[in-house]
Amino acid sequence: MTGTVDQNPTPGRARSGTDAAVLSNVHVVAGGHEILRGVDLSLERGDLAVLVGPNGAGKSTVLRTLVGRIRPTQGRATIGGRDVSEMSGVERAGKVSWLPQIADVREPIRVLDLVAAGRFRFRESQVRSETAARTALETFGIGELAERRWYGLSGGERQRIALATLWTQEAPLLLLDEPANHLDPAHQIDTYRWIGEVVRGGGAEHGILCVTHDVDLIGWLAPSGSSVRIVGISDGRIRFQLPWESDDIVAALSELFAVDFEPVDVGGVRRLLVSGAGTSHDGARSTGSRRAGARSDDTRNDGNRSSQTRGSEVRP
Amino acid sequence: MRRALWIFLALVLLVACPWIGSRPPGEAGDFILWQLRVPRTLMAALVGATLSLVGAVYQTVLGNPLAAPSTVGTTAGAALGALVAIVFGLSASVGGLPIVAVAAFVGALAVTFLLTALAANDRARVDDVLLMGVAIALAAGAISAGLQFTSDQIGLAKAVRWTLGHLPQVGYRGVLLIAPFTIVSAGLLLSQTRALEALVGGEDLAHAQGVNVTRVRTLTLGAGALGVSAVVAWCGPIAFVGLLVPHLTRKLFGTSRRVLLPASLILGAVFLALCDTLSRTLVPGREIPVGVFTAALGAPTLIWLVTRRT
Repeated sequence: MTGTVDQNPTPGRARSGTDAAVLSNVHVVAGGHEILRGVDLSLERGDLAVLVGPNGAGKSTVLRTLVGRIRPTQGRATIGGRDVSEMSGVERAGKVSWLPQIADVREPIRVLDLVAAGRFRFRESQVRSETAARTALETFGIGELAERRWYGLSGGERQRIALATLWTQEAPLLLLDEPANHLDPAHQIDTYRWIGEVVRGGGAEHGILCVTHDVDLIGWLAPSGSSVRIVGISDGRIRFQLPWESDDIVAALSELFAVDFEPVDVGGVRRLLVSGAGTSHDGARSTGSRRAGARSDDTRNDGNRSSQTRGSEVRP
Repeated sequence: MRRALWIFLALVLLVACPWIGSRPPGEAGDFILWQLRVPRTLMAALVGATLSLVGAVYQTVLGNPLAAPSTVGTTAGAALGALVAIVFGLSASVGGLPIVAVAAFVGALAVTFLLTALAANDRARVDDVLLMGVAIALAAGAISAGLQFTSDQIGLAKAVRWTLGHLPQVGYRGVLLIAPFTIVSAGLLLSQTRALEALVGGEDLAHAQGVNVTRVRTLTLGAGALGVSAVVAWCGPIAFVGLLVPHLTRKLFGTSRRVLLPASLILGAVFLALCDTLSRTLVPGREIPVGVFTAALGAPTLIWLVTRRT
């Protein structure tokens, strides 16, 4: 049952669409707080989605739920129609990979060993795992770090090693939590360009969901204007899902973050710069949720509106 | 190449252990060599190997350099079980086994399975598991101290001797009794090498890569408890081996689990066999409990290892 998927390391062979990762009306309660309040979201091959929202909006929790690290208190998290929690770890790892926000490495491990661990799901020799790990390190331009130890590496080097580890796993769906964390501007742009390339250049083999609160970087994902879906989240609810090219995106993001964004064209890349502190926090959030709810009718957010209105009364 | 040489040298030392020290010529000497020293060295090797491998695995799965059979309560549970038997003067035997050993085995298993049950919860964070282990160890230690306080002089002397850690003259029978437990335990632990390697990157990353974090945690804690319980039931809590040897091995052989785990096992065997040989030869005619020896040797070595890193 699970074997057929596990033994097929080339993700492109399976039929697209059947392996979509879906959250349906997901609620997550942790430590007495409702972190997600009815989230509907789906990700499939060929998708490039950016999950944006202010601190504490529930972005990371969405990823943790999608990858089965947290079980929904209510609602379902499925991949290809099956509950994530019912899949074996190896089977799940063949469908979706995840870059956690914090790499919690607790020993001065050799970089090559860390990256080779990304091959856990493959039943293969250590030699093959290490070859794949070296290739992944080369892909990210850090082949020379293979024999180095984790301690003593810079934050940027660690972040790129983590990306290489994720890449060796060869899963079709990639969940990236702040992939440009700790990177200098040049490497931030490189990383976002790379993400855009993976989805665009891979013949729809991959789908990526990328979490960030750095709106300014989104423009680098799709300089050629291909489709990037922006998913806005705050207070545990999806507020809107809009294409980056949409005329409404600036207003939607401004309301989501309660600041004024201004689109600027920098060398053909559309970027959003903060031009003011925006309206008061309360006002921005409540109007934001109502308007975003109305807007997202054409996407996939219909079921949420009533709960959104309720939520904005409960929590300013 | 250099690694292989180290292992080879260590094994040569291990084999040489029974021949170290004086013995009378003729038949008596042969008896001492083949019926006392060889099985005792085998016992020391089994005990050292088990404690060290379990220490290396616990340090990985609990993500903490202080994790060891002694810091998660396994040895404290054994001590509690043994003390109950000693203090209440139970000298009978169960199926030919001394009841003290049986009680220690049960105590160690009970305490570690309590911890394993707590660790089996998906929501238990790894640091919490170690803290719970420390708390259980302290509680078991407190009960043991209370028991010692209420016991008579003879019981107290026995108890103190037991808690020092020693390698009893149990002959081949003792070796054959604990071997199945330690072999099953080591086999289960080594089968998790790849998962443990992934866990070095943190539980989140390991989960993403397909490791069933909770299952690996439960399985390794349980398998480790099985081996350590059998070992400490016979020998008492031999200090520092499970903590020191994995750190020493990492220094010599690096951090790759597929090298570190088997190397810890081998070096642990050699280390304890050597300590035992020293403990019986250093003062002629008198034997220093090997637990005293490992602690006296282990503590400074550990400090030296740590300061050398910085």
